[in-house]
Amino acid sequence: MTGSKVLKATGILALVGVAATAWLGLWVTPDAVGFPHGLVRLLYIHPPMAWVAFVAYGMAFLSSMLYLWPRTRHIRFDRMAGASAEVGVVFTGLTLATGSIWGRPTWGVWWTWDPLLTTTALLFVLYLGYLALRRVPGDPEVVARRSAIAALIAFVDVPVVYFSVSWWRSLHQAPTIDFTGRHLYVHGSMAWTLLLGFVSFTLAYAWLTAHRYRLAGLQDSEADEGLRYALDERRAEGLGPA
Amino acid sequence: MLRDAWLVAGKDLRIEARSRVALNQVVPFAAAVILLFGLALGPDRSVLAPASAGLFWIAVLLSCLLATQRSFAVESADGARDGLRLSGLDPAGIFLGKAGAVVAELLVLEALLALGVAVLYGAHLTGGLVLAAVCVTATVGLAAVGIIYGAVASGLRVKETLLPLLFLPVAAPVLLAATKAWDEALAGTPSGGLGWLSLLAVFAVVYVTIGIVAFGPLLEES
Amino acid sequence: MSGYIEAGYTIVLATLATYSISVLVREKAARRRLSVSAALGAEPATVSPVAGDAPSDAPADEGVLQ
Repeated sequence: MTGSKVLKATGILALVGVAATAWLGLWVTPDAVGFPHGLVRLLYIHPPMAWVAFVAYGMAFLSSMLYLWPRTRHIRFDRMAGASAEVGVVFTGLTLATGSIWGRPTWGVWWTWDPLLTTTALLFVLYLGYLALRRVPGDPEVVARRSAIAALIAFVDVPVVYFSVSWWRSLHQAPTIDFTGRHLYVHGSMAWTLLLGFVSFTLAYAWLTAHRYRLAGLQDSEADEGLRYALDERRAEGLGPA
Repeated sequence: MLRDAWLVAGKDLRIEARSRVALNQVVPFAAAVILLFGLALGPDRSVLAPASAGLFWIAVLLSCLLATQRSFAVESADGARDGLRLSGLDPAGIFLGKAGAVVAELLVLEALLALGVAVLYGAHLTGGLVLAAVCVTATVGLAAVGIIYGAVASGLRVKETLLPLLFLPVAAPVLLAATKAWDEALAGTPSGGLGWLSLLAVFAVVYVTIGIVAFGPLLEES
Repeated sequence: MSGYIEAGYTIVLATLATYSISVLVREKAARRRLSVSAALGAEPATVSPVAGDAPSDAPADEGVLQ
């Protein structure tokens, strides 16, 4: 199947890309002035993590909307939403972990109430709730519908959370921390490494989501199969004595 | 739609008037919460008074959870949910009615709670108009989210544990905005809270709209 | 370099690897169970679109990761 060939190629590219990013990031690129302990190296993985997380949630939202829209309603959009959200949660966790690791040597604390960091943390629990809701068993169509509505609520909350949190911080703390190093003059090998990081982690996201999506399809047909098997058994039982 | 909303809200409030669950259980619960905050933070009024807005809204948030859970517990008994679904009432009306009843209950609770905060934490309730406006808009938003998620989780065996996980992160901006607006009002600069008030209004409008649109499909299930 | 950088890269790479492997393993297990139940079932199973490319595909994908 061509589909799985493309998928395989994506997987290989993602693997090579991630490995190359790690190699370039850890050993090849120079240290940047103003970033103690060579912390600039975290820059090659942290923003791509955050980017992928937001892409994943956007994808989950889009799929949920396609599911809710009566003309495009199909269970595959529900599977897609679930797959993408789960991968998104993994990447959000990694965003928080790398952000925290960045914060410790930079500001001396593991956590700071930075608007981006706080929003990300809220997103993390928000989508953990969404995944928990998805895991509650039930009629597939019912599960899909309520999950789609939960995804809608969660996604609409994102800008509100971000806006309120950044407003909250700007009122109390004049110097906002430049989290992603926007003032850093990124050039040469550093720019390429950062770009490579974005591309290869996005590819990794696509590959992971595609496999997670397949797994969801398999699990669904497995459940159908189990149901059919149980029905056959009952039917055989009913026919037996007669 | 509005007539249906009125009917449903009246029904829920009548149930409340007869059973007094909110009055006998949710209000004492909220009182216990603010007492416990006092114990946790110590008797020092210079600590408690500045924190009173935040503690007040945490107590409201937790009470809102109980109120929405109660709002759907009423429907789950004796298959009342099916009756509601088959009643031919407009789903949007049902949503507005249930949310309206929760808002009414919570506003009463907030009035009592504000009194408690003033007495126990020594907060001076200045800027009364802004305080009241914040209460109304924040409560509308909270009740809307609570009723939508209540409908999402109702009928699930794990609803007691799932609803708080779904509700609290979404309600975080309400907690933030309402607390900040109250802080401003209590500090004697109520006009500083108007920006937060508009944020609360946006939140309320967004989630009431989602509820009106999404409640139909949600009721079909179970 | 300090320990922070290494920790960051290790956490990211290890988590992604673990997650990918778990997805692949579960996918493979699901395929195996499905093909077994399809073989046992009295009626021909109607899951062929997903199960069809199973034997050639799953192990190769796993190889990609390692």
